[in-house]
Amino acid sequence: MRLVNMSFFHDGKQWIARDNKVEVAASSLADLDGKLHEALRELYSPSEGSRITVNLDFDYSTIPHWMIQYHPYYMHRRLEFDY
Amino acid sequence: MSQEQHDLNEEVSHEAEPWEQWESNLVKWSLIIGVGALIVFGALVNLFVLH
Amino acid sequence: MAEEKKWYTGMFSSEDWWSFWIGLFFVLVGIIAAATGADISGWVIGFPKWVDITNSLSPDHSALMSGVSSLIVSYIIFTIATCIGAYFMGMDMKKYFWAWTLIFWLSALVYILSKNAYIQATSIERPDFGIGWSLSIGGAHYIVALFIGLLIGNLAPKSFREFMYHGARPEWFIKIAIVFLGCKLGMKVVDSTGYALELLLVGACATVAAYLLFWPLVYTLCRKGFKLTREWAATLASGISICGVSASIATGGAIRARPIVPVMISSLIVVFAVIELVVLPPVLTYTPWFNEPMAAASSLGLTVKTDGADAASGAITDQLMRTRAQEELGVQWEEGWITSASVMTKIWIDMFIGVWALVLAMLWLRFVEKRPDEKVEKMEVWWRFPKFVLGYFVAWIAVGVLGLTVIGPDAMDWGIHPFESTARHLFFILTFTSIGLVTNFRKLAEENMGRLAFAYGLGLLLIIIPLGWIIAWIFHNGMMPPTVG
Repeated sequence: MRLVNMSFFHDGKQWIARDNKVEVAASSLADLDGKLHEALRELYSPSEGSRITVNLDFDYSTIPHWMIQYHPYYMHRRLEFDY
Repeated sequence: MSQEQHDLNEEVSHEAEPWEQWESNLVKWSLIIGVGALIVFGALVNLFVLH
Repeated sequence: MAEEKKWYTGMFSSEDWWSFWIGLFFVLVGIIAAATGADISGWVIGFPKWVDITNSLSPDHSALMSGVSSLIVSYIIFTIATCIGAYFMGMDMKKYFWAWTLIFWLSALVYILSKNAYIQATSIERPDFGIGWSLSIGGAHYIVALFIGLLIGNLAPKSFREFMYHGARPEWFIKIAIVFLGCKLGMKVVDSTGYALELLLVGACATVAAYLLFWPLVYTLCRKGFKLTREWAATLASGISICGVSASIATGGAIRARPIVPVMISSLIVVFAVIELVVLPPVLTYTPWFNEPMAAASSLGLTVKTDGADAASGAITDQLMRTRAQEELGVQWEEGWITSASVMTKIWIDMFIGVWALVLAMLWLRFVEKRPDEKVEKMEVWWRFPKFVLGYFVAWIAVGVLGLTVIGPDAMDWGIHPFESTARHLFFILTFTSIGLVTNFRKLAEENMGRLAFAYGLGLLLIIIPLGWIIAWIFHNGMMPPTVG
């Protein structure tokens, strides 16, 4: 099983997930997950029956500065892609 | 994140999803447990804690 | 590349954790002072009432140094402490330092001037000051600090306002003050009464009931009455029902809302919280609620969102009600208990947000988004848990246990009082100034938030305040603050 740590944020129009190897964007999280699933397949060529786990950490620096003091983070997503 | 002007009056209710059964259940059970907690804890607190 | 989130993530990079570290550091200083007799805590600046301005400053241990020296030492020590936190949190240090410095001295100036005996002395205190009249406005310094902050936050040039945001950290300051408040409950344990524990218990019960009633009613109002989409309705319901901005962020994250949703709702929350902060304390003080001071204070914890505004409204109510009690009943209630009641309920509410966010995340992923690929981690509860609450309870237990055993009550009171009371008041006034600075009323008009604002206001008036009052009364009726002596 491979573990990939990525960050993601919303630019006002679409969700964008990225690390230093891959970047995908979509207007909904469901579409983002689908694109990410395929992008990771192309990048890592996972074998049949294997799994890639993705930790998606929301880039909290994109939230207005004054709000950050109220809560430590926005959201953290854990995706498990089976190939 | 973009901080452009939004017409929020339109945005907040645009394509509002229809009310579904699971929402009724969430609201119903939350209220039932809440009222139950109010009665049980209220009685216990008034009997044993408040003077 | 993002790193995997661990249980200790944020321990040295979040404001929440830094209120824990800074609060407990000073509590430890107080305990060491109490244990050794070395006066390492008495330097904290206090602002007594005065008619002669040379008497307007005094360190907590008045023989230790002059008032001016105490003010300077307090500025230096608290500046170093908060700058260390700001450094680890990755803030712009230069901007933080100068903004903090302005906020500190502005707050100190307001504190000094507003503590004039002609403004704040009660009729019973007038002979002590040799004056024939006074306005008897307890807590005037808090109100003035808030309004000065609001003036700057709304009317100053944009560049200056944005500069001040770097030091205006109301949530951070109030959380440090709340850790100090934990010592007060510890001292009550030392006094061998069960009062603090009773307050803890009834606060928990009131919270559970309130939580589960507020949320579904507001959610239904938003969905059926205002036809809001689920992401707006759920985030608004949490914000108004639970713990304000923190809850709207947690819920927005839990239901995978676009960040614009909690950002807009949070702008509403801080504005309404300030309105409540100004309106509710006098309403509670000058109505029959005055006969139920602890219930009234607890209702603030249930109805005023954001920790800062809640504790701040509790502090004003504390001052107003004690002044009225002294004037009309001739009774002197101990300072801080009305504030404690408002904070206690709020702390319970804060603690539950992680659990509620977890429940919502599970529901949303299963019933709304239907995403089998995504897992909800139980650690969410811990990650969202307010860490300053741990500091509050550690301070409470440490002061209580040590004060009862090895140190003794008198020594503990001597060592810890500078932080339990004097520094707490200082951080409260810093909170008031900062709340004013970060509250921008124009934001509502700029963002065209009429519909949301109407939903929020109606939810507050029809659901949160009436129900909060009823629940607070059910769980706190008959409780009175301890009297002095």
